Amino acid sequence: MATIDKISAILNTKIENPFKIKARESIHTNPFRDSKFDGNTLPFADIFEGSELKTQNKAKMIMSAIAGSVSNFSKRISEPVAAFCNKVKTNLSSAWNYAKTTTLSDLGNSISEKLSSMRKNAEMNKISEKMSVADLESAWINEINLMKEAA
Amino acid sequence: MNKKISQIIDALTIHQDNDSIRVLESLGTNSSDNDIREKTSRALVKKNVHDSLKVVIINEGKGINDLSPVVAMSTINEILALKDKTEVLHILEDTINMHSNETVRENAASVKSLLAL
Repeated sequence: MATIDKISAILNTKIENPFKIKARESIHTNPFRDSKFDGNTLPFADIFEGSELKTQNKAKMIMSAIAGSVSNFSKRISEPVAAFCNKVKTNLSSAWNYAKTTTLSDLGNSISEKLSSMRKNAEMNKISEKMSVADLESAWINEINLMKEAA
Repeated sequence: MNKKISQIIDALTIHQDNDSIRVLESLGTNSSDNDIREKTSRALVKKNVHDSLKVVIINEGKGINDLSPVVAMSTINEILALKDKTEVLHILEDTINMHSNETVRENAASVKSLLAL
């Protein structure tokens, strides 16, 4: 009977398989696998607790990052932006004043003046037999001089 | 060729003032540009007056005596195209008989023989 008890004690005892390699333990890379932080040690430890909470915190982080960057941005370029805005404002106001003071008839007059002066210049430059020989000669000499200057 | 100079030469060709011949000779036939010399020589022939024809026939290096064959041949063609050849024949005969330069005389003789064909 005593022998039977010994055998049963042996059989009830869990014998670890010596060939079972502890490879799974060796490839574990999580250094916190044996630690319990309970959400106190790490500042964002609660991100590990459920997907919903994780999303909320991530959104908070992103928003805080954006807010910080915007505040920095405004601090850095507030003056150039103000100067640029002032410049745009000035230009717009001057353009508006020009548009207010200039009428369509004025624009038409300036265009017609330009066209008439162009026509006069073209007539002046036009060579015809009606020109005197002296004028034709001077025009020819002028052309020769222009060609020499261009060359 | 410069367009404006071409227009000036055309205007001087039509011009009745004899001073136009002087301008064409001084500025046109003495130009270094072959095209301008050619156009000027043709213009002087087209005028078909004694003074203008004389310029392109009796002067060395001008008109039919130009060193550029293009200018010389173009002038000869213009002479051949004249309707009234009386004045040009008269000048050619005088040149053949009286000019001091032999080359000019020979050129004039050649043009006269072409006119006779």
